[in-house]
Amino acid sequence: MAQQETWLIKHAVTGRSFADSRKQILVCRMESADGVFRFTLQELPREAAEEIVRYSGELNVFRFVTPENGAVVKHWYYVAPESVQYDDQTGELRLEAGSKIEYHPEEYWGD
Amino acid sequence: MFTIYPAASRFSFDKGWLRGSHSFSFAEYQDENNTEFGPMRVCNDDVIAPGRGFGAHPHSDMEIVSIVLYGELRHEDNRGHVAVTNFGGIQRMSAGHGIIHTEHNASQTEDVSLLQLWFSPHTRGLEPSYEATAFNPERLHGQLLPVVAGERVPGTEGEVAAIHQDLTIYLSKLQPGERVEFAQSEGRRVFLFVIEGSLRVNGEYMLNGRDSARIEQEPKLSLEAQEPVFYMLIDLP
Repeated sequence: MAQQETWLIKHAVTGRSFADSRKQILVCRMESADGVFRFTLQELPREAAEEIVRYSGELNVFRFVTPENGAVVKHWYYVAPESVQYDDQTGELRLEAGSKIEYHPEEYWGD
Repeated sequence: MFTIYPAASRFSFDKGWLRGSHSFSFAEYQDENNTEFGPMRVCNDDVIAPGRGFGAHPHSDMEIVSIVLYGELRHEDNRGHVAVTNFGGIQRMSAGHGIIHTEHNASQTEDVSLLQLWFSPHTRGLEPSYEATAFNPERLHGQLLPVVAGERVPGTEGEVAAIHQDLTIYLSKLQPGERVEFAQSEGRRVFLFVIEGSLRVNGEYMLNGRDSARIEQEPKLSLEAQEPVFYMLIDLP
C-alpha cells in the first residue's frame, strides 16, 4: 500500500466538517516557504468554500499522512484568517498558515 | 432579560463510553441560533466511562476550563503538561496558537463527570498554556467562590485559575433558605447553571438540577436555595 494522504477542514469549535478528502473529491496543493504554508483547494463545492471563508477565524486544517507500513502522522495548521479567500470564478479556495504542529497519535494515551 | 434553558432542552446523547449534554452547538448538535453567549461558546456536561476518553486532538484560540464533579480526569498535552484532577480541581488550558492534548478518565473502575466550558480569548495567537488549580470544597458553602478569573488576584495562585478573558467563574453551595446576592455590572452577562438541587432567583425564577439561565440587564441577582443546591455562576462581558 502506497503512502496515503488525507485533507480535512473542520470548524474548530463545533467540529463540523467543511471538507474531507476521504468523502469527496478534493484537490489540495500545499507549498511552503519562509515558514508560511500556502494551500490551494479545488473541486470544493461553493457552499463549503463559502462556509470556510465565513468561519476563517475558527478553522482546523489537517493533513494526515499514513506511510506504507507505518502509523499515521497528523499535521495541524494554524490558519491566518485574513488569508482565507475564495475565487468563485476559478473555484479556488486559498489559505495560509503561519505554523503547524506535527503529532503522532500513538504517542499519546489511547487515540 | 432572563432566559431559562431547562435541562431537557439541552442536546443529550449516549455513545456508551461518553454520555452527556451540550448547552451550545457542538459536534452532532448544530443550531445556528445557539452558538454563543458573549465569549462563551461551549458548556458540555460529560460523563466518561472508566479508562476511556478523547484521543490526541488540537485546539487554537480558545480558553478551555474543565470542572471535575466526580471521578478523575487526566490531561496530557504536547507541551509536556500531565495532570490528574478530581473534585475540587480545575483545569484551564489556553490553546492560543495551537496545542495538542488528550483527556481521559484516569480510573479503570469509576466514571468521571465534568463540566467543560470554552470561551473565546480576548486576544488571538496567545502562547499556549495550561494550569491545574485546586480550591477547598469547604469554602463553597454560603458564598460565591471564584475558581477561574480573568485577573490574577494576589494570594490566590494555585486556587483560582487565570483565564485570558474578562470573566469570572464562581461555584457555590447553599442550604435551604440561604441566600447570596450578586451585583451585575451594566452591559455584562451572567450564565447560571445549577449542578444539583434547586435555586430561586430574584424571588421568581426557579432553576432545578442542570437547568441554566442566560441573564442580561438584571443589575442585581438574589440567589436563594430551595433545597441544598450546588451551582455555577459565570460573569461575562
